[in-house]
Amino acid sequence: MKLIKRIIIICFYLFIFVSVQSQNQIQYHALRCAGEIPDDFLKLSGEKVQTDKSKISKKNISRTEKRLENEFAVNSNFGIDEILFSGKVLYGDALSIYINKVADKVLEKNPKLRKELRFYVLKSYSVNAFSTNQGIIFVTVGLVSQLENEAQLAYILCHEISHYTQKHSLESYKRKNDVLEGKGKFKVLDFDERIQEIYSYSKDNEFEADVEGVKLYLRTPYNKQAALSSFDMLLFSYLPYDEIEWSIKEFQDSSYKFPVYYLPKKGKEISADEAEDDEESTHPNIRKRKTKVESILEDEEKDGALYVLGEDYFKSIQQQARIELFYILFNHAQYKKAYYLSYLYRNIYHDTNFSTIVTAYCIYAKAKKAKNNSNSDENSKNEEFKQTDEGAYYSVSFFFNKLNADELSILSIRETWKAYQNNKNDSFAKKLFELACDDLFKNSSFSLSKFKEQKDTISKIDTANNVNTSGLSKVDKLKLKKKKQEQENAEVEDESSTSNFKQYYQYAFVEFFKNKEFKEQFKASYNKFRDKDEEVKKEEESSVFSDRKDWRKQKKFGSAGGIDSLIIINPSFSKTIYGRETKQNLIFNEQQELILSNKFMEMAQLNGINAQALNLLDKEHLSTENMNQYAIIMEWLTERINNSASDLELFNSREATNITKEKTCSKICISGITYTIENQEFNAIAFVYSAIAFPVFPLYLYAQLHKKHRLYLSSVVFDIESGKIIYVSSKQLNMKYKRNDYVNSQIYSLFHQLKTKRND
Amino acid sequence: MIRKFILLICFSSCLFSFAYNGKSIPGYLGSKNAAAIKIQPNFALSENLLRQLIRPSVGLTYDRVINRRSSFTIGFGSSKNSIGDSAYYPFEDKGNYLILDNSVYPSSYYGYINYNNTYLSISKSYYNLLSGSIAPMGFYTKIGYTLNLQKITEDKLSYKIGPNPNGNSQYKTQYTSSFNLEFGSKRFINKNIFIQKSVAFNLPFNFWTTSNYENYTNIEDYNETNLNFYLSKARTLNLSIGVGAAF
Repeated sequence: MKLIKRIIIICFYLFIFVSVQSQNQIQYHALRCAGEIPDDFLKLSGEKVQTDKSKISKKNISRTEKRLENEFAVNSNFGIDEILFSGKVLYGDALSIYINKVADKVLEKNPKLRKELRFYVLKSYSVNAFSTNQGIIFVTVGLVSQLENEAQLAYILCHEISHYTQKHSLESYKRKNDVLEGKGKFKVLDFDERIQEIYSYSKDNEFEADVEGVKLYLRTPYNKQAALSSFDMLLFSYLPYDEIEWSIKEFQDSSYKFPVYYLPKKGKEISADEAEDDEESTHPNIRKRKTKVESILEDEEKDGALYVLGEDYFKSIQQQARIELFYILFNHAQYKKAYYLSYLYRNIYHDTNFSTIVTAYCIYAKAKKAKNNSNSDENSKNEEFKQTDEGAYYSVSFFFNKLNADELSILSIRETWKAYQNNKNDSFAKKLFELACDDLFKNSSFSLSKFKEQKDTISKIDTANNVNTSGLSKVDKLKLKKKKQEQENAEVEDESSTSNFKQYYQYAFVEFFKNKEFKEQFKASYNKFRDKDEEVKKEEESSVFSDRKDWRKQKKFGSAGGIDSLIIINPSFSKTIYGRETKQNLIFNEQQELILSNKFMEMAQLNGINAQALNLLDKEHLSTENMNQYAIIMEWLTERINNSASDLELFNSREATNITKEKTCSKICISGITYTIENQEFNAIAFVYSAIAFPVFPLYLYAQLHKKHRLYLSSVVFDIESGKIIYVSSKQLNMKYKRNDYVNSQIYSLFHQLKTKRND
Repeated sequence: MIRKFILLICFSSCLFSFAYNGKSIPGYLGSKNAAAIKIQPNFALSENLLRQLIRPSVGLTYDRVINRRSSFTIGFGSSKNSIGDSAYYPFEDKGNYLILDNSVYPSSYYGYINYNNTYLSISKSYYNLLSGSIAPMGFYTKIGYTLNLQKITEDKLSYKIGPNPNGNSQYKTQYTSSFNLEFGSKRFINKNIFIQKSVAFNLPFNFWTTSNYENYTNIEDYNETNLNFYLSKARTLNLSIGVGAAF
């Protein structure tokens, strides 16, 4: 018996140890779904709508209300499924598990309500949480990264749960409809007043959710003051998750220093105002909300804990969310912001290995983006400079906007080298360094002689403001003086000039040239692109079709993709009828998507293409693995699209490459059909001519009454391995979608072109 | 996400115009040949020729797809036709008169002539890519040349008043030809079978006409000229319907 007892005790402690370990284990890759797939993912949107509609039909409400509720059922179910199947929703991962655990604590005393609710994490940078009428509550990664404690999350969940229990989304929909259609008392309101009415109703709902949320929150074991602090957290949520002054020194060394005007003379004020004008906002301002909540909390004496599940657990989840933010920002090509977050991350978690790679990647990608924009003659230097760039982040934003493409390329080499030195065994870090070196010389006029291997006197003049002049010759002293004057003039007159002063970067690699490996790679990249620029240009010109002759040839013989195997993502379909009202039958669209999925597979196989479907509509075979594969590909695609520089090494490419290895196919086909029906526009000239030549008037009448049918068939094939778009086809056809032979023929033709061998 | 992406591509196709060398000729789901049986009523804008409507010509066509937007077609067909005794009025209207010794005016003749018409055609079809057609499926415009061979097989045309002057029944085979402009469509009802509809305009081009007289010395010349005239009338506008298979 004693032995059994001991074993049980050991097992118990082991379990506790393992569970704590698993809670605190940080993953450095993007979060993925895990475990059993929830029911919300296993039904078609159309089926969900039918279920809701059958419930509505049993309700004892007026016919108008039933119509509105049916409309709401369609729009909300399809809207939610759009989010669920966007590849951005997580379940079964560390964050979702944590949020569900907090929800368990919040609704400990209300198990019935807990069963109705499902909590998912949404991969978004924005700080937000929202609930739906169907009982699904989404919490964004951005929100988790900004939270100060577990209790704040608990209050936010209470607020969202109250939205659900009060049926705010349905009531808002009904109210909006009544107001916009001018029913009842809203008949007398003009358009502006009606809009104000909608805002006002939305604010009332928020107040109600705050009040009901607090009532629910007070029944939980959490600290009551956290409810108030969560409003402050929301007030500053537009800024990064921490405020640590940024120092330019992290980029500099003794020979490489940036001009002083690369930093702002003074910071920017924080514009957040808790009493901001909320007249044209769906939410009341923070002050009003706080006052309302405070009035309820004042009467309560109860005080709870900031952490129920544990502070360490919260911190590890928060760190995980902050890691996830890098992936989200990279997907959206927000490298400047990602850089500052990497700076914060390094300072908060002292995790140099991961953060140096992230930092290096930010600079590398930012340089690549800037170079791509400068090549295409777009002045997009300030594209990411926003009004909300405040606080410590303002300096970072200011600094990056000062750097041109060449300066960023140089900085990119320095930072990728540092990352490589920190992570010698990481092949990605090494690749980044090699690519950064290549990018400096690719399509640029840089030569090796521009970068000096040793510091000289001039370097001191260029980079240092307070140089000790003792020991310098008269000539050097005068040069120093002249340079200082130039520096001052440059600051005042033309900060963006490319004068000699700006060539501070000629000493950028003085320290680095001491390393043999660095020097060799640097020279190798230079030699690689020394003579190739012209050839590259010619290749690019020949690959893009511009000639009219080519265009005719393409009409006759199509294009050739030379593809033997493909991963086909379920094609999208959308039919829109334009008239007085724009109509879309979402259920029909979904059914057609199902049909098209099968059709695309059939036609691909008919052409002898080894096709594999990645179809989220095939609910019978849907698994968590499919969901993750879809998410990885979508993330890769988002990152690819947001980075017009086609040869940028993507941060998500490693995961996506694993999928292609698994499926032994690296090409992904994304296609869709957009079908529109619209009335003919009135053609006055044709009308006059047909009236004069009256025998043709019936023809004119027929043409005028005949509706325009347009079918857009688009398809893009990406090669994940090379990261390039290898095939694009977009056609506008004047045909009816109901003609099966036409649709079949077009899809077959698409795959035929993909399969056709190239002559080049 | 995908919908938005597809919409982006749909409405900005000019940004993504890539073309690569290679010949992609898909046919219809891989079928680049199409054979059809075509029924063509001999329709003319004259009530006098209505009789011919019920005696359509039957033809065979064979299409070979050349590229995505065009195909080469050869056609063969035959019909047995009749020109009745009520059919001379339009002929008379044209100002042609049979001038024979014993005749008074053309209406002195009654009866009918039967003839065989065999045609061979060669044409090229252009498919309307903008409407979603890809050869050999969908809307097309066909430009072609048709050679008709007519032979009078039976001459039952009699002179009302007395015995036929210079009567003999030796007729030569006549050659007539025409340029054709055809508009049609092929609609596939399954993977292989299609229904074809077309309307064709013919421009007669009778450079081989054996008889084209204004003054006639015998009934044979009269009949041959009569035939020529009616054929050119009858073949001005043709409607046809057919069934075929792609392979």
